[in-house]
Amino acid sequence: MDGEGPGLRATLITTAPLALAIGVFGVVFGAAASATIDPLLVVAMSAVVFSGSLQFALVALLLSGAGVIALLVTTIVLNLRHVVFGAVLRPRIEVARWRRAVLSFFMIDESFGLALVGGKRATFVLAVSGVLCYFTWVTGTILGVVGARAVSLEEVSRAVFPILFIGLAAVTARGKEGMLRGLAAALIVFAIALVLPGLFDYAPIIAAIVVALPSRRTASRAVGGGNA
Amino acid sequence: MTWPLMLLVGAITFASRAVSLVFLPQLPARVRHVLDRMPTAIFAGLAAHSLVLPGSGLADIHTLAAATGALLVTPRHSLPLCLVAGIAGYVLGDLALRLL
Repeated sequence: MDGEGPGLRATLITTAPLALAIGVFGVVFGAAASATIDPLLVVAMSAVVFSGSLQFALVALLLSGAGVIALLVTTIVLNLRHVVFGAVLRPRIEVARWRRAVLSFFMIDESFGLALVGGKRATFVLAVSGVLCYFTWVTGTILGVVGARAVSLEEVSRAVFPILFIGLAAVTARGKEGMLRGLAAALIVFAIALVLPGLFDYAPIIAAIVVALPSRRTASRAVGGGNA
Repeated sequence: MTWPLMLLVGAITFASRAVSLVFLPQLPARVRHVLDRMPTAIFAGLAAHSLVLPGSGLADIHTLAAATGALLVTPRHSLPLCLVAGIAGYVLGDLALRLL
C-alpha cells in the first residue's frame, strides 16, 4: 500500500479473509443467540448494531439473567473505543458531514484498521471494507439462525484476527519507537489480563492511551512541529 | 431482549461511532500528536487481546503459531506479508501438533 492508498481490488483482497472470518462468527452468533432471543430479532440486531463483540457480550449477559441497566452499561463501555477510533480517523476522512455519518456506521475494528493504512483513500477503504464485513456478518447471522454450523471453520477464523492486528500494527509503526510502543501496549494488555481481569475488555484502549501519551520531550517536539 | 432495547443498543453504538467522526472539529497539534501515536498501540493491544482468554490462559496453539508467524515478519512493515506468514505459522503449528 503506497501513499495514495489501495484500489478496489487490493482492498477486496485484504478485506476478504477478515470478512470471511466475520461471516463465520456471524454463523456462530446466529446459532447461539437464536437459542435465547427471537430469531427475527437476532438478525435485526446484527443488521442494526453490527458489533460482534458487543452482541456476543449481550447474549452472554441475557443468559446470566442480567437486567436492562447492565446491558446498557455494557453497551456504553464496549463502545467507548469507537470514540477514539473516530478521533484518529477524522483528519483522514474529508467528506461531507452526512457522508461521515453514513460511513461511521461501518466503522468496526477491522474496517478502522484497514482505513487507517489506506493512505489518502481512507474513506474509500472504510466504505468498501465496512460494507463487505457488514454483508458477511448479517449473512452469517442469518445462516446461523436457520441452522448452519461452522465448528470446523471457527478455529481457523479465530486465528485471522491476531494476524490482522499484528499486521496493522506493523504497517502503522513508524520506526523503532513505534515498534516499541506496540510492544509496550501488548505487554500492558497481558498485564491487565493477569492483574485486572475485570478491565480486560477495555485493555487495548487503556494500553493505547498509556503508551500514546507523550513524554515531556516528545510533547515539546510535537508542538514545535517535529515528528516523534 | 426486546425490540426497543435492541434499537436503543443500536442507537448507542451508532452514536459512539459517529460522535468523533462527524462532530469533532480540527484538533490542537498536541492532541493530534497523541492520536497519531495511538493506532500502532491500539492494534498491538487488540492483537494481544485476541491472544488471551481471560480465566483460561492463552489462545489455542494454532492461533499462537499464526501470531508467531506474523510477528516474525513485522520488521518488514507489510500487511500482506504478515497475512501470508501468519497463515504459514498456522499450518506449521497444525503440522507440529500432528507430529507430536
